[in-house]
Amino acid sequence: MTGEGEFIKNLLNNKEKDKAFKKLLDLYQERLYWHIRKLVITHENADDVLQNTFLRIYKSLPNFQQKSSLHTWMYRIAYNESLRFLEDHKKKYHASLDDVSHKYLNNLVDDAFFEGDEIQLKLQRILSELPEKERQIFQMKYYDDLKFREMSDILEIKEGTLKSSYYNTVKHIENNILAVELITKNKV
Amino acid sequence: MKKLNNHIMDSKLKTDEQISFDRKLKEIHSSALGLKTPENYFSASKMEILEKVSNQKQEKFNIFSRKRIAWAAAATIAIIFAVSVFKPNALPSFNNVPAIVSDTINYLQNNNLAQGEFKEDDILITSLFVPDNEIDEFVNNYVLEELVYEDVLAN
Repeated sequence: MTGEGEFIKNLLNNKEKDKAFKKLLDLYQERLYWHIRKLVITHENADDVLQNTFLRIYKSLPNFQQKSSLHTWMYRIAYNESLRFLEDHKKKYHASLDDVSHKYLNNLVDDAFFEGDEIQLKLQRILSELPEKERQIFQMKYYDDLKFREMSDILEIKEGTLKSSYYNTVKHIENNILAVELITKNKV
Repeated sequence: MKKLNNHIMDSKLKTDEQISFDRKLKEIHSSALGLKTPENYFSASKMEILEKVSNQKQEKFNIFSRKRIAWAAAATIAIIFAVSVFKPNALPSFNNVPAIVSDTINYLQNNNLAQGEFKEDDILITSLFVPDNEIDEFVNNYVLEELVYEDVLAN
């Protein structure tokens, strides 16, 4: 049995479950936090979603069918919990998902846990202006360092489509950053 | 304190590779996106998550216990109902009171209450099934005839 297989077995065993779950938290808490944080933007939101994600994981462990890796399965739960959170806020503010993201982005400057400069803020804006799916694909690949195969499992999009979307987005961001740098230089 | 020690022990489960991966993630999010977290956020968050999981388990257990009590109560009612419908004589009823009570009642009904000779316990039990005026009549006669008579004889 592989390391992950043994670990999953412990997670599903009532006697070993709690100990294994603590280990699971140690291993994946930070990765899932950053994944969530990019989707819901502020720390406060990410904290809420992270807790819901791990509660959901704990509750859903008996239903884990091992069709994908544990890592991919948990990412999918984190992704769905983030979308659920944004959907709830969308209903609350009668806005679209993109509007909700823009709202959080506008509040980012006042967030105590954002310490970015002008360029970083611009990058956040460029990302927020991307269509939702393209933004997620870029973030999963560029920041979370996920494999296209794993992303395909999480987002349920073909690998080929993911690759082409990613490279188009990279080009788009590069062009925009160059434009920002040119504007900044001209200002100086 | 025990919880904290457990957490410190558990954090050793992380390999150097995993620690360095997490550090790299933190750096890239901080340098490229300007995102940071409160100090010791992950330790505090871990404790909070474990606490919530534990509360959830407790809640689940309580719901399970409540369900068990409800099922036990429902089963008892069903058994009583079934026995009383299909085997009515198995349960005590007013028509099936202990023999001593029914015997006493019969005795009182067939003989005048005032003329009866029976023990005090019998009177107490029987009094539950006899009209109040008959009880009063019996007590008056008993007090006058038996107790006063005994007292006179004793003196």
